[in-house]
Amino acid sequence: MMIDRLLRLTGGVVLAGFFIVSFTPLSNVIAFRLAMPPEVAPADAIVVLGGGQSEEGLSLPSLVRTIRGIELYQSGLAPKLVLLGPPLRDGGGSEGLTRARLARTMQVRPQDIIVEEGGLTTRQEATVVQAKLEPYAVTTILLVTDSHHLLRAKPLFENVGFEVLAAPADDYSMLSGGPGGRIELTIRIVREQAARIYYRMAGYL
Amino acid sequence: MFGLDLLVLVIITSVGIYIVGMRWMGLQSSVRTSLAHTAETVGIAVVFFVVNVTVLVVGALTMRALGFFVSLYLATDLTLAILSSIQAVVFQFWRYSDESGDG
Repeated sequence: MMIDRLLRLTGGVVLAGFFIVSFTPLSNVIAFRLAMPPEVAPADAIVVLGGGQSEEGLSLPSLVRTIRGIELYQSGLAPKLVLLGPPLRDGGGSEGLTRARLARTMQVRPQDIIVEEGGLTTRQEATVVQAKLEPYAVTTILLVTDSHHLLRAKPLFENVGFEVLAAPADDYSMLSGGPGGRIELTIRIVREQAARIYYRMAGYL
Repeated sequence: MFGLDLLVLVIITSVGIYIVGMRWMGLQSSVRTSLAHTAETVGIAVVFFVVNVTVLVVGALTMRALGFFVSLYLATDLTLAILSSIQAVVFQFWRYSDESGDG
């Protein structure tokens, strides 16, 4: 049957793709090319985008981004550290507050920490940060998130009026060495590209 | 390098099970046909995955329009791919059982 042939062809292509993704460095090369390079320089504030939190604590991306933000603050690149992240669904403490606690234990001055719990999507985060930083006359920000997420996040923050310097929190293209890591990396690439397509279709970018 | 050791391992065990299947289990049908059925099942899994993602995205966007936030990142959870594969395997067994008059 024609449908069976089509299904076999689709399955064959997917299986071939699985072997290429798992056992060749293709995904690492693509990830390297898609990653936004760092543009680290002095700014008015460091903005660390949300990365997720569960009842157990901060997710790994959230933790990595927070540490990168604190590192930039400790390097004296900006006087303010803006930590984002919404509350847990059951009404528990927010990701932003958890990050602020961590920042205080790492010698970030409490008066330099700004917590924003409002944004649930990257687009919302840009809007709430713009409103939150208005009283501080912030024009230039160091934006901290994943290197692939920056491709989408940077123009969104520029759209709300900031001059944005990219500060990637990771280098996934180098981290994912084994087959499992490369599959995870491919999922990240596909997810971010799908998100960019969605944002373009919705007119956000 | 590149995890090829895992691939070599799987090739060795596959050759082993081929020998066991031929000599001790008396399996006669072609492995090529089995590979074609496997590709077909993967193709069905892709169809299930696309349907699942579409329903999830439409549902999430509808919920958002109603004021409830649902993350679209759920669509790229590896679990969804595994569940779609299970759906495909069950569907294939159902089809073959029906064709062979089993059950």
